[in-house]
Amino acid sequence: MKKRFAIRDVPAFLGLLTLLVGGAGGLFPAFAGDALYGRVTAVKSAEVVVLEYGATAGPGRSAGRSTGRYDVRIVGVDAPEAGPLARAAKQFVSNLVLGKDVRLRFEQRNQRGEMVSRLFTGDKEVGVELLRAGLARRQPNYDYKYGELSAAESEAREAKRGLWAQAPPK
Amino acid sequence: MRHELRLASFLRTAAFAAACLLAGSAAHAQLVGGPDIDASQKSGDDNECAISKNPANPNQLFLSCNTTGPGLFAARSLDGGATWTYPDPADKTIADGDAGQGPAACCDPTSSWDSFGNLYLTYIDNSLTTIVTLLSTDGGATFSNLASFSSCVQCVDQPTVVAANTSAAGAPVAVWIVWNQNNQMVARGAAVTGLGTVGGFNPLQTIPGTAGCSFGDVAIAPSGAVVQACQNPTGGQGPATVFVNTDTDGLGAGNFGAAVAATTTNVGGFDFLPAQNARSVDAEAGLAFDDHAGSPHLGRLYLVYTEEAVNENNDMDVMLRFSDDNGGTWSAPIRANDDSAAPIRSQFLPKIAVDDITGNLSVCWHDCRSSASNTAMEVFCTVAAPTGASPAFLANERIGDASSTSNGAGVEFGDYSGLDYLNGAAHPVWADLSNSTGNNPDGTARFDAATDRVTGGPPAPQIQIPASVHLGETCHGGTGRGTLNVCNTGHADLTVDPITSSNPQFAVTSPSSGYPVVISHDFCFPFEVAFQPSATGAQTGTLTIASNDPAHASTAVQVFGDGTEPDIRVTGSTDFGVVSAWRPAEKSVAVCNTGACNLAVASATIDCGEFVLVNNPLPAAVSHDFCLDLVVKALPALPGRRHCEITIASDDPDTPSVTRTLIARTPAFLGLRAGLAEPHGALRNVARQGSAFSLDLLYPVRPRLAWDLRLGTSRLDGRAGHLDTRIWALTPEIRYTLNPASPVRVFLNGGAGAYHFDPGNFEGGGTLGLGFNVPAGPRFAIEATYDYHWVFTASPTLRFSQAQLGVLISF
Repeated sequence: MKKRFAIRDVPAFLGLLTLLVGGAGGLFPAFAGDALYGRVTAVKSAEVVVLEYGATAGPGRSAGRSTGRYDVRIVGVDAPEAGPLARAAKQFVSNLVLGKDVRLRFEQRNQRGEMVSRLFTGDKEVGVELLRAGLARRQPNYDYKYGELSAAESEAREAKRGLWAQAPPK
Repeated sequence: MRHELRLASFLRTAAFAAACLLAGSAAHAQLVGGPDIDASQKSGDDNECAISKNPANPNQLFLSCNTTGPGLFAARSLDGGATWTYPDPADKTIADGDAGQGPAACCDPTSSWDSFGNLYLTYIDNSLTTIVTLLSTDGGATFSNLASFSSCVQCVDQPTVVAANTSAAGAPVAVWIVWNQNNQMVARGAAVTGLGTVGGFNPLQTIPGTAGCSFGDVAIAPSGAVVQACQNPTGGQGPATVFVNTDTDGLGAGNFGAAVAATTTNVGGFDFLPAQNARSVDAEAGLAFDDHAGSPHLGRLYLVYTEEAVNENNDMDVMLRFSDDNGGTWSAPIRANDDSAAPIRSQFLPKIAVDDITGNLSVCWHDCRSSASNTAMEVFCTVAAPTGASPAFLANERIGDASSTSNGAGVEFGDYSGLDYLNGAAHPVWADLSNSTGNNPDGTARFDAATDRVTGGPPAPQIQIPASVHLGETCHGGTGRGTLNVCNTGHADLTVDPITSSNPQFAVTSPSSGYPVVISHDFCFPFEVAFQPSATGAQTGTLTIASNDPAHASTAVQVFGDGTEPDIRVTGSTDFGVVSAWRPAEKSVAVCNTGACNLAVASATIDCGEFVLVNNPLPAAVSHDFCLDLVVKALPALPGRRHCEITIASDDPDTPSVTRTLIARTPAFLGLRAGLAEPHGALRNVARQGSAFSLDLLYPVRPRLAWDLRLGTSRLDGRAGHLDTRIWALTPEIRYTLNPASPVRVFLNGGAGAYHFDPGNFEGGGTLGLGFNVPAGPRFAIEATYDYHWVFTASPTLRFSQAQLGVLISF
């Protein structure tokens, strides 16, 4: 069957186009957030986890120092908010990080007070893995410097994983 | 005790100072910012910039930033920051996947330039796994991969690279990189021995007590010790503590020591403030050593950080502490920003740098003092001199030409800004959204990297040497003198310590005490320089002037002189020829000076008594190109050829003693003697005693030895029946005088001869004799001789003797 261009492909297309023109289009923020280490104590959704840092959290944690807690929103991904895929996505994230030491690279605090960040555990980046599993979409006009999110999303789309299982082929 | 010489300085140098064109001072009590310069002028955002200035060429700067899209924004300036060009003009980025520009970068560039001209650029690679360091040896035009450090995956953050001169053995320059790795500060360092000659990095050092510590800095002490700073905890909005660790042996085997709490702060690792309410700030601790050799606090370590007066009241201030023991203990905090305490305004993202040439420290930061909403920032700077017990900052100066308000999109101003300070010019760099330059392609929508050139500073003396010192010709052993004018074109008193010389032939002799000499601004002081050449020819030296000029703790001045010397020449014949007591001879010996200095002729001595100086003017000085005549008279007391030495002593350093040989000989003598002749042997049978007469030509060779050519005749009376016998004898003889200096001189003589007997034939024979003579005045001597002759060829052998008395007459 002949591939057709779909409206929902527009964000990915724009991101890819921007990447191909070398970033000159200026669609990507300059990602360079500071790192923070901690432990995920709750998974609110596939996009938001609770991270505790300080005495009880993270490799090299410094016992006795102040403990803090952040709601951490995984940057650049939009996961389903309801339905089986939403549950699957949350479970996916829980499996990856709940109760585990993680590290984040903080991008910004959003209006809800959430710490929008890249989230890592072991050698995996949670947002990328969500996209690669087809359990989230890449946010429009957003990607990392080298198109990592687009690549992961494309891999899921090609493999017809999760969100892309019923999608028409590109 | 300080020697106040202002008045003396004025009086002695008024004329010079009036004529001397004193350059305008470069030192001011006020900072001066130039126009802002948009160094990036590219689409997209550029923030978190680092800037470095080349100690080997302060006109060269390198700037790098995080940027939208792949790689890092990179720019270089060859004119002190006035204009900027790009290693990759096509996209103004490097480490973006293009070949030969380093592994692809994520972010967090940090750079440092060493005194060899090596430029180090360190950043996090795109996988967040590797700390990459590139090296440029051509001023940031091109880069090569120097090192890549990775020990875990997606786990590194906030690297800082610094390079500095050290006194450590084998490490004239040390380069260190610290970063956070898996929530722990780690470090590696290497020795640098030349341009492009970077040694291997030492093994990874995990810095004790830094678990959960990050967002810091590193600095290298002049000794080679290394100090890192970091903040703990890294999350929250404070309070937090800034810790430092010191590796006292630098690149040695030892590790960093225990963490020392340098200060607490109410600024947490993610502390939100109105001006950066999405991204937040940390305390942004920064370190810098004073490694200016002339600084009174050489080796002082400065720590700048952000404090919040009351936790979460957003009244953030830029604070400075210092340590004189490599971070072991710290001073009380000094507030760098001078805005009033109320209303509350934020100062944040401070950066510190020390000018290695002056020792001044500069601090720049983002400042919201002009923003009623405390949201718009301008870049401010201040400077302090390294003098005094603790730094005293000048009034803050607004450097940024306009204010920037964060776009709130998470990019904001970033986690850090950049600053370098060298040769009296500070260069802050920041993420600017004001577009005050009007050449941001995105207008006020996206951040560009803005920079400035900040000059001025504390009032400072400024040494100026109008000219090198030329002392001209000076005689060896003498002293030439000249003036070294030391001027102060600055705005504070110049103190000059004793001036040293690289060449002992040159020395500053006046003033000889009272140091340090204090020279008021806009005056000169004449130091007297003495030149005492110990060698001839052109002589040079370097006078080193240690002063409190912050830019020139040591000033070298060339001094020139020409060492000259007298040159003795002794001319004139010293062969007196034939000389006798009654016919003495005189000769003039010319003692000349062909050198450039006066010649002091001390004496002339003759090692025998038969030559005397008739006119002895010595000691005497002989000007250059003049001669002095010494008249020598030969008065031989003994016969023969005479050799004596005349020695002339002078101050010619090359030939302090000149010797010439005086030669003379005495004339021949004519001897006339008459006496008796006595036959012997067979001759006695035919002859009887008769008369004898001799004529001698006596030529003295030595006092004891003379040739004697004798012509004699004897007439022997014939016995009965025999005719008288006349004998002619010509005998070359040798005469040997036993005691030539005695009043009565006894001699022996002998030789072979030809004899003619009449009647008879020519015969051959010989003679031996003895005699004595007694000088009678300079020209005559009475002489008595006895000679015995053998005529061998006659048959039988004929013998006869002669006893004579006569006179020797000198020619």
